Amino acid sequence: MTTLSRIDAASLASTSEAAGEPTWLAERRQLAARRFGDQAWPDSHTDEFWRSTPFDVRFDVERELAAAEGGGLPPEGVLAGVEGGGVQVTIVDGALTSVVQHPAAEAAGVVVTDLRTAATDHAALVEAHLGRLTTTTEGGTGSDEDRTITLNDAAWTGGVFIHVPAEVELDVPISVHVHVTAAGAHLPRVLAVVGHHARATLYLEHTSVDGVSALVDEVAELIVEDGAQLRLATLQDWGSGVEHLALQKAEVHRDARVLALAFTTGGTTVRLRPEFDLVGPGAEVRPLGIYMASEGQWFDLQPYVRHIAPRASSDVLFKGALQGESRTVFRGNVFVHRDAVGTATDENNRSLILTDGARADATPFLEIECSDITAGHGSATGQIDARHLYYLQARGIDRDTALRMIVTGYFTEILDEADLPGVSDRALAVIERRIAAADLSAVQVNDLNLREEGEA
Amino acid sequence: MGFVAAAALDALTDATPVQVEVDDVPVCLVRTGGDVFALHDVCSHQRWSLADGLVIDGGVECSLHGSTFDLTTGAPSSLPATRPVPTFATRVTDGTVEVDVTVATNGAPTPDH
Repeated sequence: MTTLSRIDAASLASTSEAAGEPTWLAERRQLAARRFGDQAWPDSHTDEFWRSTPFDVRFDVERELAAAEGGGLPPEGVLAGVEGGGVQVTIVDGALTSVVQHPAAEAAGVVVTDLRTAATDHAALVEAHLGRLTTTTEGGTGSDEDRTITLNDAAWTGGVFIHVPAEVELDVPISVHVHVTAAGAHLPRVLAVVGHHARATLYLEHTSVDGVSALVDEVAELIVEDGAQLRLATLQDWGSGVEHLALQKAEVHRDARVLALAFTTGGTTVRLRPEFDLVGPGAEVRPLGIYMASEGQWFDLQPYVRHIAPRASSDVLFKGALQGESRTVFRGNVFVHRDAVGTATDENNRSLILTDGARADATPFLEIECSDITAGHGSATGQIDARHLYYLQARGIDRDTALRMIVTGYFTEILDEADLPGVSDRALAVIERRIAAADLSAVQVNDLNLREEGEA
Repeated sequence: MGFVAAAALDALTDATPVQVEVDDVPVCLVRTGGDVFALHDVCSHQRWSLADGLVIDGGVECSLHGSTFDLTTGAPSSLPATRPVPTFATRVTDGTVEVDVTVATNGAPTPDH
């Protein structure tokens, strides 16, 4: 076995052959492997997108690929809380271990299958789309400048292909549950194609056995065709010890709509890139985020919206709470192409610092090439307002309960809007568990407004 | 450990920061006349080498965003940095600058990025 840095074209070629991959796929892996050889790991001194998070400190790439023999079943997933269930995909330790179809999805012709077999069985779609959003093409917005993406392009292991055919309105969610039990590197891959005027709900769920030291380098490509609707949720519910790199990139076509919720509470280091290329006029995206960081955790959240077509709209909102010696980075990006007239965009980040020692960095970035647009951006980082606490306590609610209500209410704004079956309940349960485990006596509030009112 | 040779005094130009490694710790050395100051070389805001900056008003300015860290206290003059960088004791022995990185003289935490 070789560590990630030493992945080479020859070993990938033999893996492709052993797995019976079609020639086009093997060739793409070879091309990626060559790019990989030419690239270096991200350098926080030189790469602006990595400046807030030291790659060499927070990510260990000297790891071998985790053994593909799945070890144990994942814990109960989000679908357990969904009435009527849904399609359940399970990827354990780098291998797709099961796909449990749902009658409604099956009847509608929804394809959910191993990406490797789909490369042959659904060759037309997979060949057309796999790697299209990660590879730089003429005028494209590839992500292959970053070696962590090229790595997945070259060497992805457990993969799933999802196809919701045109005009199919699927109400049951499709959940892809990535579970880690083995130490090492994991390279999951997701490709979803939502046909024109189709409707789908997709969950990406991430869990691990607590304390297992692993690097998960994940890429999800989501094609949302004309007039389609996609509701997406990604849950980073890792145990401690996981370093997670994720690119979840959607290409949103004419009049298509995407709502995306990123819920990040677990793992040692999570660097999440939810990206949205609005390539058709009238496309609409609502990227939402919730994060709760505790002692030792480092979350780097980089939503990126590219307005490439005219009259598209986007509205980013990420809210977080931090405690202990934890770090979060919000580096939002909205790019407006010179032809994207009539763009409407807004981008906001809120961070609550609950206890001393936590640090939240925010850069709500805009890059605008077109003047005929509306754009907003903002960020606020602060402590709980003592007036809120005072108001609640004045009504006989004890301090701890009041703090719990304030933090939960702060996040409920986003959960209520996303309104994703199963996800809201799960997220609330995690939030409540985190608050229950916290030392509420250490929570500091900002009493500036309260004092000013007292003096008035 | 303790005081370790870091540079030759003659090799340092007045008010021109230099980056050196002392016991695997990146250190920014600044000479002002006969005195030599040592600060942790990583800005407390983001990962950036302070030695890349200019010496202004008794401090070294981070060339990325302009926070200027006082040579004696390590404290930043302005945002975006909010925390001091560690400062280290220095001495000159027979024309050699020695630095002790085992303890920050201002008690500042080592930058974690």
